[in-house]
Amino acid sequence: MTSLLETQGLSRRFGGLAAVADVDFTLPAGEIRAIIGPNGAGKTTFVSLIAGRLAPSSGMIRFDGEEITGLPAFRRARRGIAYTFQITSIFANLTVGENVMLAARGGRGGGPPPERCLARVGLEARAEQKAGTLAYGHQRLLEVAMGLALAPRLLILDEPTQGLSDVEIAGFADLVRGLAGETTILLIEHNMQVVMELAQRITVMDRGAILAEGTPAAIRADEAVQRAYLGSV
Amino acid sequence: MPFLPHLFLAFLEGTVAAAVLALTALGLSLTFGVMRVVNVAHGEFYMLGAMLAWYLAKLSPGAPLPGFLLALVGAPLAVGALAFLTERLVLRRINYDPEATIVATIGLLFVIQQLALTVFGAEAKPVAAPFTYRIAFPWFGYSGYKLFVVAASAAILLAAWWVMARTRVGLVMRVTQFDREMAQAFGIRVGHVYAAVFAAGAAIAALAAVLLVPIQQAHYLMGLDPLLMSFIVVIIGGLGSIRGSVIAALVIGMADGIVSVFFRPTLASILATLLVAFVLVLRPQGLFGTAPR
Amino acid sequence: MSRALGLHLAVAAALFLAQFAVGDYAQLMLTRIMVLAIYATGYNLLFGYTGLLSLGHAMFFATGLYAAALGTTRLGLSAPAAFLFAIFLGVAVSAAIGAVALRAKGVAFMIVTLMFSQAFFLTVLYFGDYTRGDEGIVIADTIRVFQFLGQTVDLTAPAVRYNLALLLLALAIGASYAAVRSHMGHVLVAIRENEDRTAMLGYDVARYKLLALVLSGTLSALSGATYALMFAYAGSTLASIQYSIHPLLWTLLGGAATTLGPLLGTGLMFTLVDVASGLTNAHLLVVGVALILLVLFFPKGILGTLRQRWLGWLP
Repeated sequence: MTSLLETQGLSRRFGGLAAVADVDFTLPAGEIRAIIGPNGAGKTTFVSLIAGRLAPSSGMIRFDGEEITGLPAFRRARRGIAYTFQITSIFANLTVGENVMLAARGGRGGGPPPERCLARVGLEARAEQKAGTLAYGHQRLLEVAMGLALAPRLLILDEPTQGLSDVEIAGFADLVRGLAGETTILLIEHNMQVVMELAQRITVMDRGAILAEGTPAAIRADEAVQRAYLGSV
Repeated sequence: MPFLPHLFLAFLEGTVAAAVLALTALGLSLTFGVMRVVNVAHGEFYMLGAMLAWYLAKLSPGAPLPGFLLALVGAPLAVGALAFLTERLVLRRINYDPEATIVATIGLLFVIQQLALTVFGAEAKPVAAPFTYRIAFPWFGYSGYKLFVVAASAAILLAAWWVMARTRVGLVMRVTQFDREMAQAFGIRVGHVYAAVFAAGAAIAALAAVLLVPIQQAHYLMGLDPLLMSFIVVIIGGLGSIRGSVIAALVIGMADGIVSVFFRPTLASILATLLVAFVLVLRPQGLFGTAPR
Repeated sequence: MSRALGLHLAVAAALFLAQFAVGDYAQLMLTRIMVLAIYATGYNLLFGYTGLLSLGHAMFFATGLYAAALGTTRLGLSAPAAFLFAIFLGVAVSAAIGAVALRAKGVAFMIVTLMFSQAFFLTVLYFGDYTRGDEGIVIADTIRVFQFLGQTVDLTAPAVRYNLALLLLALAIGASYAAVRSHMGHVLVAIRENEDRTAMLGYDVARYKLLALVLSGTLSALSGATYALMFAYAGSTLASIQYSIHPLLWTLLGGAATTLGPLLGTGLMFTLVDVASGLTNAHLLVVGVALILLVLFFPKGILGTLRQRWLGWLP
């Protein structure tokens, strides 16, 4: 299987600190991959490099066979890399429908119509509501809807269940499972239950580098990972 | 006058210009650096200092020295108080939002300028120097007072550096500048620091004007030029870097002083403003500054 | 017909009828207000809708002003030709400035625009031989009476000026209304609300900002050219920092991000200053106080506050 996403020697330094250090990473198409690791491991920095929000200090990123290292963020979105923000970043003063509409018209095109995206996440009844008045959990769902409207080939979810109730988390997991066939998913998560349920493979990062990679069972058994991070699952 | 002595005269003029500019810019650098806000009315605080100097000098008839001393103390205090009031009443209410502060201080600029026009009138006001002492160089005579201004300015800059680097007050200011939230976590009353810094910045500008006004006359429109020049200095020297501001002031003041002796000032101003613009475009934190956290 | 459209037409009608109801002085002042409201409307596109605060728009206004003035007096252009020339220069200058200035963000952008504008102003003074500095260029009456599409247009006649200004203003506000409701307008608002997010949705934010700045600058230049041709005067004060602050103030007062706010703000401020000038020669004091009060208590301006509290449909 050809890899959808590939990085070679990807690094990002801030002053003297290497937030991401020389990372080689491959992600096959169609997979659900989770990235886990302690705080400060470089997870968000890593996906920000992939999404184009940050420029790398060195290294190479390849998407669908083409190098995108120098490509600005908006072009990557047009190619099908959708990023949902760790800190909810919707347009509070626009309606829910307008938010998704903006996403639909910005991205690759050919994505599902906005109503369909809203229906996928269960927000279709709230299309006319001002996005800023949504409950927090619903705002997170709106983020995902906007990601979907971009017709993504790679959907990056940065800590999507943070702040959600258990019921909402369960609903979210169903949503992601439903998406698995259509798009490749890269998921940063702290909630180990969600990770173990959803992920087909897990990448563990620590201090800017990849500590381990493998199936959920393998990772759970890995001693180094347990030492660095896992604790009790 | 032959060229070398002419150059020496230009050098002296440049030093005086640099000294006053460094002092004026210091006030702006403090507010910009610690509070991260742009005070467009900074030049007006300067102008007020000059006006008050003239007024206080008029109040004390006879020899100019007592009036000068009175102005040296009174003007910065008065202007500082006004700045403090502004900070409490306006800046704090808008929560130091960068855009809103610019608009509010533009309004303040107009208010102060026009009040000065109404109260003091539109004519330029001369102020006598506290002492006249002519230094006789072989080629020309030079005002001893101007050299005094340089010395006084240097002394104040050194004092400011000492306060910032060696005292607790300075430490508090530097911590607040570096990381506002961390300062709050340490129990520093950021609001109080801001009020003090804003007042101090204005007071120093007024002080610079008091020193300068015997050389140049006081006029209600005199605030615009120091504002632009201070901006240029602070931006080129780097936001938040007082050392950078001083270095930039020396370079720019010297260049300005020398150029104005030889050339038309307008062209130099054009080049200077364009230079600031391009520095900001290419290096938003200035030459020596650190980007805000 | 939507309420918004109806409101616009009503305002246009009211302005049209006003000329018959007011005296000569008021008519002249209204003409001036309408011409400068075009400037404010242009400014609002960048400030209100895109969220970029420029402190240097006087350079765009002055580009149009001097293009028209120098075009007619020095280059021998007819009034219509000079007008087109001014618009063309407006596009060119705003594109050039935008390409450089937009690389600076936030506060830096404000200062960069201020600096460029100041440099422009000083250049106007430097070439005083041509621009006649503060004294200004006076455009002869003969130039201001011209042939256009077979008709004689006499810009020295108050009625002609008034209606032409009204027409241009209507076009400007109409264009701004259309732009705001278009997809481009929605993207600009998105950029204002959350630039990062907008980029991540696949929009070329830099290009949209440049487009907004060019539109804004060109409208400002159009206003400047109209001003020169109608009032026969192009002086350096119109290129000074004051004239960069004015559209900001007018837009803030009337309501940023509303289509009619700039017009309202310009009209109100003009009237205020006019009344104040009668009382004191420190009329800028009114401007200063207005700015401070606006920022403190009515950051959304009159129409903006109205829209927020009661009239949500206000365009």
